[in-house]
Amino acid sequence: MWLYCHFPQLLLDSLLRAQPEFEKQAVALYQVQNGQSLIEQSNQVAQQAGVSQGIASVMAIALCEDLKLKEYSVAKEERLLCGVADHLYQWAAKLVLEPPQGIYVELDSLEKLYGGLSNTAKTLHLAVKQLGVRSQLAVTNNALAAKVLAEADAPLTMNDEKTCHQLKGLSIKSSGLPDKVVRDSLSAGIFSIGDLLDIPVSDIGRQLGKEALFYIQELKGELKTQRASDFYQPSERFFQHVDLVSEVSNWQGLRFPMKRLLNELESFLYQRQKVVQHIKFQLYQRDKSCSEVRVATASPSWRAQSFWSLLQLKMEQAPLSAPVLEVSLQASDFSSLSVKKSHFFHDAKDTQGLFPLIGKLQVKLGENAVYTPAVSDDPRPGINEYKQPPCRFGGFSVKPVKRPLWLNHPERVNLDEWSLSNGPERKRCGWWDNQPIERDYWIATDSKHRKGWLFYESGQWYLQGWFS
Amino acid sequence: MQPNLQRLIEKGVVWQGQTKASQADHYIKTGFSKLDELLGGGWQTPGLHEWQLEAPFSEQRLLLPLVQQAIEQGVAVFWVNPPAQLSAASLHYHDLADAMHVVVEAKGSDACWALEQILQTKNAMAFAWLPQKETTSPKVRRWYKAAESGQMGIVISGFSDHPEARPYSNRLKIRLTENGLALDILKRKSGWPVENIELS
Repeated sequence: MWLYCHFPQLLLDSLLRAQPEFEKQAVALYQVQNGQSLIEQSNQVAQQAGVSQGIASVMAIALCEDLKLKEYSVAKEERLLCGVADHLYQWAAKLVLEPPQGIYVELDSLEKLYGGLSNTAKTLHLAVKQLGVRSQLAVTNNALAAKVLAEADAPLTMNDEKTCHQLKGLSIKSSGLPDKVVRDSLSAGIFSIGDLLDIPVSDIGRQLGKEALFYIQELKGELKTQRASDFYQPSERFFQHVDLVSEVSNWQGLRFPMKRLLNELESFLYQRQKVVQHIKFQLYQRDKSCSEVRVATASPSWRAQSFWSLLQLKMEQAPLSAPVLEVSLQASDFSSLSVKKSHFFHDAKDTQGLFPLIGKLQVKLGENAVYTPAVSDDPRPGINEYKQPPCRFGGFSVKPVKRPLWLNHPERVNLDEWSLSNGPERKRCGWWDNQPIERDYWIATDSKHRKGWLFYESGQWYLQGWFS
Repeated sequence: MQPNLQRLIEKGVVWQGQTKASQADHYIKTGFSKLDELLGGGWQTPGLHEWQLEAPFSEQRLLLPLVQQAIEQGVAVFWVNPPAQLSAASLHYHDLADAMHVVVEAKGSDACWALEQILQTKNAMAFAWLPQKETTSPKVRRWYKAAESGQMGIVISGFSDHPEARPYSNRLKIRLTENGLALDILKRKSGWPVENIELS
């Protein structure tokens, strides 16, 4: 058994989902064919004004002055179809894409899981509804028949006799056959698919050509189209793209589409039980230029909210540089949700609140402004100290030696203001990277009883740190 | 409240009697029994405390015992706008390096914002080095409210020439002496201000 899902306005519906404020306005997508601009998809408001598929764009504007027009793109709709397949993959593994607007779902392997054909169809119907785009479904034991019925928007039924009756009653224009075959059929007095099925197969080939022959053979189940090898494999990386109905010139207008993309990422990661630390939004502008907004959490996360709170901070930092026409979200380098990495908070009571905090601080202040101090095994004081990203823990391989809590860039001091107490600790090293030092380190006290870390080098005393 | 009384409170010349600290309050030992006694048990948690230093880099003797106990309790330590580079080698030497140090380099209003964010987060302790001009009464009130959810924060700044009332739990003036530390407790929850406390 096959379920066919047809999404007649996938691109337009997705556009309006990203910017629901346009739902009450007339919006249509046009496509240029043979030098003529024709309406491809239109929303309900536009349809009520008479803007239907196939009419010229000029005519559409004449019918509806306020019509918002945007160019249709097959490639974009195909990309959206992959997103739909990713969503349906949570419920069904055997999906075959029929770009740009359809998906076959093989049902036999799911019946046991969902408790019968009817329950399977209901479950998938609900899953499709969650997408929030217009859909037409059909279930039959013949994949092509399911496609034809779904595209013709026939009422969904599980009854074989009824589906057969529905199919036979469909106009030849709804068959999906090429226009030339449809014209030939009509001129030969074949008005419905039922009429076509009644004609002997040998006559169809002769009268209407090879395409009609294969079509009818497939519809009758005499010709099996191999679909098993085309089963959809979900992508290993996340890329989602949202087209905007009109240019958006402030962050406020981008909040909804960006949040939607993050929710889709959350669903993507949840399905795969993966987490990610770095994501990248791309904002496309009119002149084909593109700006990037990168968001990184302190620890890998799958939650949309973790990224959203950081993204909001980024939005507060600077206004949108230029009006935006499209937004995309990319993420890769996933890690497994179950992997526990060693980090500084391994012993903390509850680390849940700390990671978002660090992420927030990094976004607002810059990644380099939030760090954890670390020390290498280089014997040169100061040079051995470095900054590492917070939440990482590498352990200490060096032997602990007394060092001041605070380190300065060495500054010249007058020894008369100090009284030496402990030392010297001689450091003569660094020949390996042309930064040699020859220093005698001392602990000394100043007039305010503070303990400083001084060194003597090349005839001069320097202060490098404070113990007090 | 009467405006005249409000003005006196703002000047810090009125001591307001408080009910005894609730049982839910905890105290972290200061590392000095005399100071613990004067502060009613130690550093109050949740709480916000002010250390005014006579000279920079004088806080270490009070700071290290506090960090030690924070780490024992599994609390992350945030160092906001530190006066110099925090040395990992020194933390290692004092056996404090095993976990949880996050340095936040920020100045001015960013540092104040960062401190508030940290104080709002469970299991975090904050040390913030801020000049007196940044620690205005409204800001301190915000930090105090943020810390009330269970955290402790220490605001470290210079001596204030004209001390005004601030909603800190404790306010201390710290001087280094030949024998150790000398403190003036400008404000404490458990009694009147005291001066010239010698700690060695």
